[in-house]
Amino acid sequence: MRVTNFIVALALFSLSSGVLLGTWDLPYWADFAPGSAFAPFWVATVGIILALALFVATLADEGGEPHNFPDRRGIVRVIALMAGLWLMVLLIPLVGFISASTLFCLLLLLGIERRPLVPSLFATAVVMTLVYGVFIAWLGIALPTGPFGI
Amino acid sequence: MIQPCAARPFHLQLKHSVLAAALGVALAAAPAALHAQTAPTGPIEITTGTSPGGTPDVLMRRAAKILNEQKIITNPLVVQNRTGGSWMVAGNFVMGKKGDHNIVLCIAQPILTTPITQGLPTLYDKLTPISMFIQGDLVLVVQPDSPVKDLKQLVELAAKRERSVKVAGAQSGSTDHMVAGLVEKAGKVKLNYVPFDGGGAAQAAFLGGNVELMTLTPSEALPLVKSGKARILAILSSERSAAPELKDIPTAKEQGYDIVWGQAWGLAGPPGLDADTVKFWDNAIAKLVANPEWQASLKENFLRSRMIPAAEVKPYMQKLHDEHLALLRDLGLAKQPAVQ
Amino acid sequence: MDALASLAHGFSVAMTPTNLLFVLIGVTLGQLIGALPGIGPSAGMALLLPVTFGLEPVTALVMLSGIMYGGMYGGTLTSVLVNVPGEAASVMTAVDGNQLARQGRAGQALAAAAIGSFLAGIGAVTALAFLTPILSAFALGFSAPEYFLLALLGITATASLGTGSAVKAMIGATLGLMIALVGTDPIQGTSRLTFGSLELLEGIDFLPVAIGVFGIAEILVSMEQTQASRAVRTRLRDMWLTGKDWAECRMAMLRGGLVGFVIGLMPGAGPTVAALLAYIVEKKVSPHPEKFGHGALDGVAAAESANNSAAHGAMVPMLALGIPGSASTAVLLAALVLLGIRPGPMLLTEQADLVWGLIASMFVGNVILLVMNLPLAPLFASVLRIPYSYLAPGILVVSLVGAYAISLSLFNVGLTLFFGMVGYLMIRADIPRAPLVLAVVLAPLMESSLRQSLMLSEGSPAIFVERPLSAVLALLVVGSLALPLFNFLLARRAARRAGVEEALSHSSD
Repeated sequence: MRVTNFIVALALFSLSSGVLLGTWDLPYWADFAPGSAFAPFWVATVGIILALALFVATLADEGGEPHNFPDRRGIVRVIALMAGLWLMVLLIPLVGFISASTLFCLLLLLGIERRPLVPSLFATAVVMTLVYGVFIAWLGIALPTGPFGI
Repeated sequence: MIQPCAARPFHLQLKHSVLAAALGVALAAAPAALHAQTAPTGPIEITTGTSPGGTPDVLMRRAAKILNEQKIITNPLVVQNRTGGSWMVAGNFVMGKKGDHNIVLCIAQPILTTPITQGLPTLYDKLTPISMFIQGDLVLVVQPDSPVKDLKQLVELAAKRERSVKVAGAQSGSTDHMVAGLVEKAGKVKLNYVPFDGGGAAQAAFLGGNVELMTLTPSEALPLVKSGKARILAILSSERSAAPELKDIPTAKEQGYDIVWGQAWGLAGPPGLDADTVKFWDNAIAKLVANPEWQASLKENFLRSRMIPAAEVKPYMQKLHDEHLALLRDLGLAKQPAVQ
Repeated sequence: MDALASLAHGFSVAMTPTNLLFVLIGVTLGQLIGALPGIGPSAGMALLLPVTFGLEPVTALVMLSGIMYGGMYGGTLTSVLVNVPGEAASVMTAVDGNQLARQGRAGQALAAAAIGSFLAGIGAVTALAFLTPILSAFALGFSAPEYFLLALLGITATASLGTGSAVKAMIGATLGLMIALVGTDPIQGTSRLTFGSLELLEGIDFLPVAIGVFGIAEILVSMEQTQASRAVRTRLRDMWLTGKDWAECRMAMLRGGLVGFVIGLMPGAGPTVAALLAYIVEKKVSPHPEKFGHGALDGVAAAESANNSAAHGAMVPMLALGIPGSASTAVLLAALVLLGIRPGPMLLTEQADLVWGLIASMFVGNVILLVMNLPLAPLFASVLRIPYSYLAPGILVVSLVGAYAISLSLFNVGLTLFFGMVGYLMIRADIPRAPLVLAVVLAPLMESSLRQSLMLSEGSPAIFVERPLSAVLALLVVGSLALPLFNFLLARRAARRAGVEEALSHSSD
């Protein structure tokens, strides 16, 4: 947990500094009331104070609590899922929403989860029917379409 | 969607435009001759940048309904709300559909003002003009028990102490804000403009007696006046309204202050839309504007429908843009350089 | 008794077969739409607006408002069962309701939410029927200073919302505040932290954050183990609300309903703010605050009662003044305009049939929704018997479709995934997520109302104590800050005294 906390403190510190720098040029006060930079300034200040507080508290805390992250296999699975999702988003403009998400479902069920083929196909079909029936046919949401027209 | 087939005419057109430009020939007529089709096929999207319920959204839905019901346009018309970026997401979506017959953009003020206030490239001059065909008036209202009876007294009150008169309105750079700027300029006074999160919140602040002045549309103002919750000081059109409820309200001009401002909505096509499709829309909107049901529905809301046809809309938009740019620059909100 | 006669007339309008049918259609659609992540009641109403063309105004309105409050019931389903907030106002339900579901108590969570929503809804409609003129005047008493204090009250409670260390809870809230900063500053019009992106000009929408941080993050966590196929094993008959459960949450429903209704009245705050504040209030007064965040049935009951009564409360400024109190009432107003009826203060007198028919239909609609939800709660809960690995792709795809539908752009889909990763890292770094969503909702309200207040008062901070309502709220803020401090001092004194006595007793040995 110590390492995680140090990383959190560092991340928060850099985010806060980013907020501070990103709004540095904006007015802090305007006429009667705070300006555009007022809120960012105080949010960033609180962020920096909290980052330091976490850092100090973690330094002081000797308790060897183990970190929360899963083992290597777990990490690989999480990253694979995330990669699959991003891949799907990138594919949507090219092949359309329905096709991209069908591919994603199959990838998740067969590739990552390694489920049996028939139930996976069935689950995918159910999901796609639901998406098509509810979102496209009924609510008429203009989901991106691919070369096949869906 | 019909993107693949829409892309083909565009390529032809592009080639021709290169050719035409090289020959120094006006290209307007060239692509039209190539098209056998006179109307788009399949559903047509009307893109708006407001969330559902916003005035432009309501107007476009009403227009779409009448156009379809009266069979003026037989293609199903679908209003889509592509919100975000103060209309820039909607605007850029249509900008990206070059030459597409099946999409039009609802033109509302943010299409002009957001590029100015955010320092972005302008859109109004790159889209294919179709028509502006809905106009709305604005009125200035004060609290019913306010000592101010006309604009002159308002200006006198505001002149007593700088920023003592509080004005409620929508976000910075909105119509309300620009009207406040016009009042400041015409009366040579400073007002205290307080932006709220949208028109509804501003109206609540006014009704709660937190501010003295606000800008409303006649359809918002008249029910308030009728129930004794507000009083109209002036209408901001160049001449008095013909509507019986509004004809007794003096214009700002009559009262000696040059404050003329209104709202306008219309449609524009994506860049490079061919002349046939523009003609198709021109005809449809002419029929819509002549439709009694449409006129009645607008009159109910104190809006007017005078059509500025495709042929004249370009200089009109140019003038509108320049007025907005000048005003926003006076308000210190323009990020865009003076000359494009 | 005038109102009673009008209400009786309203029932005669609402109970005609056509109107009854459309109330049923409306609430059923609302239930479905509320359950779909991303598409909230307001978007659903807008999508179904064209359906109402050609209907009688009353019929159209009872259907649309049925979608509005039906959505409040429906949002609970997805929040509890799969931890994806079905609509924004159900976000607190995702925190506790899903924890309950994991303990095999999804049925109870759904039932408590349904009963709470029903009771709060009926209470709110009753108030709407009899007190609208008084309430609308009360609602107008709220303006920027009151909103600021209200948001402050919520934000200062974030430190106590976490389940672990206060510092980490505050870190969560700070991240939320940072998310809320992005976008065009509404007061001065300058763009902040948008990095030149047009999509960020209007700021980061709440739904991608909520769907990502809860729904997507939860699935990522579940992916860590191969044996993700573990389904929640429960028997149907263990899913009913027991007498003990009822005793635990009936006061929560009352408090949640009241808080929700008052906040719903205010034109500047909607059901989401109402649910958040009701949850905070409940945690403060609950006999077991430590359970909040780990599956507190009364937390779910309070938040769900609050969002439904807020949805009804927002009808007060809409009907009495023509001012939208929430995104949904804005669509209702637009529907009125499209139907050729001008909203405004005259609506109550000029369109009595419509208004009273609508109010009566809300009684009917709430009853239908209770009948629909309560007996079926265990049935809905049995969705969880499907092995999770088959459920996960569906949840992910439907969440992403929902994210797309917010503004019809892939940008929000990407944003949802991004916040999914953020949520996952937060879970693993032990940073609570409830303070983050709370801050995202309250921060814009707090910032702009602070600035509006000072503009209204020409810079004088006295505005926060001069106005009667703001004075009361200011006292509440001070009280809520002082109470833990007071308790702490008291406890320390008691401890010291105990210590002294102990020392004395030692010395006497």
